[in-house]
Amino acid sequence: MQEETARPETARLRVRAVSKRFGAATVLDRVDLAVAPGELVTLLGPSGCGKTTLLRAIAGLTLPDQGQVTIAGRDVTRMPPHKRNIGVVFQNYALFPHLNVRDNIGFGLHIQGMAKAGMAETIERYLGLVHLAHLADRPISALSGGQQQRVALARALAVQPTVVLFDEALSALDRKLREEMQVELRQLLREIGGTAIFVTHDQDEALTMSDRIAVMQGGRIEQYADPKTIYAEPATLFAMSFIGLSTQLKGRVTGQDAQGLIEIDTQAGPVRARANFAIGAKVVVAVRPEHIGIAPLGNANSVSGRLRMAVFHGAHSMLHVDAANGAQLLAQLAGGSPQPEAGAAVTLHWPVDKTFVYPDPDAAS
Amino acid sequence: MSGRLIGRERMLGYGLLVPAMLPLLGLFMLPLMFLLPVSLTGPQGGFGLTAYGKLLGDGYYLGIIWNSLKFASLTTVFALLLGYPAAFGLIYLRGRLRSLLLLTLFLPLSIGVIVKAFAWTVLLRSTGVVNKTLMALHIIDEPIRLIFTETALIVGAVNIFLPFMILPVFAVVAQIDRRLNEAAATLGAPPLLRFLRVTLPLSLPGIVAGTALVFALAVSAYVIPTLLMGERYQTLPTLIAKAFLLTREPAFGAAAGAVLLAIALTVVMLSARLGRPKS
Amino acid sequence: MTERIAIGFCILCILLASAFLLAPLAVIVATSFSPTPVFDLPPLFDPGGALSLRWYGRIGNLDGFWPALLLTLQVAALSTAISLILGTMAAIGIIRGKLPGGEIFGALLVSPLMLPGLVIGIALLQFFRMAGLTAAYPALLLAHLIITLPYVARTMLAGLTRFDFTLIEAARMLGCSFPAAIMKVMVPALAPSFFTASFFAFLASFDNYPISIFLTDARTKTLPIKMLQYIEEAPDPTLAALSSLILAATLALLLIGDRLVGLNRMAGTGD
Repeated sequence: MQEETARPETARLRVRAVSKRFGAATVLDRVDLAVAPGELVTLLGPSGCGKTTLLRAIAGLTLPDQGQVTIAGRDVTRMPPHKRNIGVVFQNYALFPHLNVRDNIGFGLHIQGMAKAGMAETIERYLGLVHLAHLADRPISALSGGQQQRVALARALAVQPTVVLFDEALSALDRKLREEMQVELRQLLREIGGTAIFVTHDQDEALTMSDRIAVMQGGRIEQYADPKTIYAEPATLFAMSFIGLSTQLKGRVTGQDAQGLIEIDTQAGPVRARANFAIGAKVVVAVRPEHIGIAPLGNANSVSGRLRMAVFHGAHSMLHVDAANGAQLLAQLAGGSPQPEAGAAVTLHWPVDKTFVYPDPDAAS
Repeated sequence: MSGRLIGRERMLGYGLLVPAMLPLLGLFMLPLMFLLPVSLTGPQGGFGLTAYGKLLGDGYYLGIIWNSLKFASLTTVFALLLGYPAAFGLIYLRGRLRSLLLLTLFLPLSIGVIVKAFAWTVLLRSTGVVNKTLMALHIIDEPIRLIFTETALIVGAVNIFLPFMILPVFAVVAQIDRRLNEAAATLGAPPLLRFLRVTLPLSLPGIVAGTALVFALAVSAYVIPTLLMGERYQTLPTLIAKAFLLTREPAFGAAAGAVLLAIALTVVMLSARLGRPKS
Repeated sequence: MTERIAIGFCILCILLASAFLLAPLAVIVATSFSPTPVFDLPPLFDPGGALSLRWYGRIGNLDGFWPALLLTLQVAALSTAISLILGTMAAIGIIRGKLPGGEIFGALLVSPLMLPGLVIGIALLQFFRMAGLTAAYPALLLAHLIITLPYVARTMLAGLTRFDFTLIEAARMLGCSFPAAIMKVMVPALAPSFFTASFFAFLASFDNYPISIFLTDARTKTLPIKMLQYIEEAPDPTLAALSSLILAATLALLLIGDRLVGLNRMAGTGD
């Protein structure tokens, strides 16, 4: 696992305290990021979180106001994009409409001044790599979206860049094709040992593709960790909310028990959790639906309510439960297990260890 | 089923074309075709190639055809040299300033060639602004002759036709996706190569359209040469006008018209072929 | 750095081009206020030479001015209106019908714009004589259809390629009759193209000299032909005053166009 942060000298790419403002808006706020060689990293966040600007700053298409970008140990902060040796796959692919598939892939090689024979061979290799050898002489306009995506990928990879950047590169494809491409792309990058950064707002894509995910909001990276950690132990309420489903209850810390657990008085009732908060702090309690069940548990939190509806999803069912004071809880049940009727009174249970507590963002501090 | 639907849409399409094609056929193509028999009339009536023989066999008249081609080519080249970068200048500017400059491209279209040509004679005459300015700057000591020179003619013609170069180039360049330039940069192309390999080829349809339009308009120009060069300077259009209005030689005028038409048609067809996107 | 210089050069070029294009217009406007009866710039620093508006007052006294103006406006308006209908129908036919050879029909419709007006004028003169059409007014009107049609066809072809025809079907699903769907969906969506097409077509007709000259008679003369006659007879600043008024009217139209359509779009950028 790429748990430990790459040290500066071993990092393929390093971003240090990069800031960017557009007029009054701060788009990047002292962002740090390190990517190890061969690592696949995703910048994940809603639109406007600064992920695309960070990608453009790495590519040299946007100059940061402050901070430093190094690629393979070389400071490239002020270097124009054509000297950085990076590959970019653009959102709309940005393929050259006046060139055919072969010449698009060969564009960068041609610029490098590669000899004719070597170039033809390299182009063939990359055509094969993205399964487009049979379309080499087609104009770009004759290709489907998925095929254009592959051309863009081959074009970016053919120059053997130090880092490949993907700007929402899969978002234009339909769902099935996108999922196929995710797997294929990951395999391909593994094969050639490529280092890549993806920008996306699609959590599934981030979880599938990456060794590490940087969850971004408001121009900052909120959490940078591997997908399992991001999902299982979200560092912030935003990371919890943006990735996966969760039940969230507002409350106030009322005390601490003998085992060191804090006691929180939530809208749906009292809850215990393992966390460090001062007594009286306003907090949000969050739980993943797969941790909530209807079977009684030892050392657990429980909340009573009334089942509003049960939605069948095949492998599992999702229970929507109304509790006291308008609180709403989500519980996930295995597909075969017996289910209560809509309108029935239910008691939900979940382990104290799976209870996450975050400061309440709405509480005026 | 769908085949028949397409067939019906096509029939409807042709049906909608007819009302516009009728005047085009009856008031444009047919009359132009009737010019051909006129040009093939001999001096005593009947069939004859005399008119073409006179036009294409006489050094004097060949010189006039050459004059027309030279005038149109020079006008086109200078309009392109100024107009192509100017169209990019418009792209780089935004908002109010761009609108203002576009306004200055449209506004001159409302003033007839005649009045504009007359304004140029005011500027270029020996006591005109240009001469006075040059003398005030001590670049020249006494007025130089500007009016009735080929320089004046080209200046006037470029002035009148420049918007027809800038606008088509601008319309094409404005559609070029900026990310193509960025993509070329990330692939290692420095600015000059990006221009040569990406922007220039993609702006080619605009260059072709503008060049063809300016050349076709310039080669057909009648008022500009007449007012800025006077009677002695002859081009194909002045020759045609003279043959029909003054010397009453319709066969000769029609032959010259046919030659001018052939030149313009060649340009139109060349531009249609070159300007088509490759896909 | 190289990029900065290139951009600067391009901006300089458009500024120069703009100044160059405005130069003759400036001469015309300045001359229209000239105190002397010579078509020349008014003396700038002459204290005695006050600017004068009298040439504007004389426009109406020009020999045959009012009938010429009326005729020109009529021919331009009528031919533009007819071309607008014919050209739009043709453009819809080409684009909606996805006609094979549609490009050729399009090129054909636009081609009169690029062929010598003088030759078209002569050809029409001969043709009308052969057909026995001797009245100047209908001959002018018919000829100006050929002048205006290319501008309409060009603009409407470009405008319609961006129009989503399923909108009409959507309107019909919502209960509009076919004509109502056209009026409520298509006409508003194409309004910018209609304005642009009309503007250029009207100007082309209003300004035309080389075709009109062959089709006018002693009593039926359009304004451009009259203007050349005025210049040859007595080139005094009245003509400059008249041209300045035309310029002002065009400017007003363009400012309206900027509000309604945007000059960017009128220039054919599609945004």
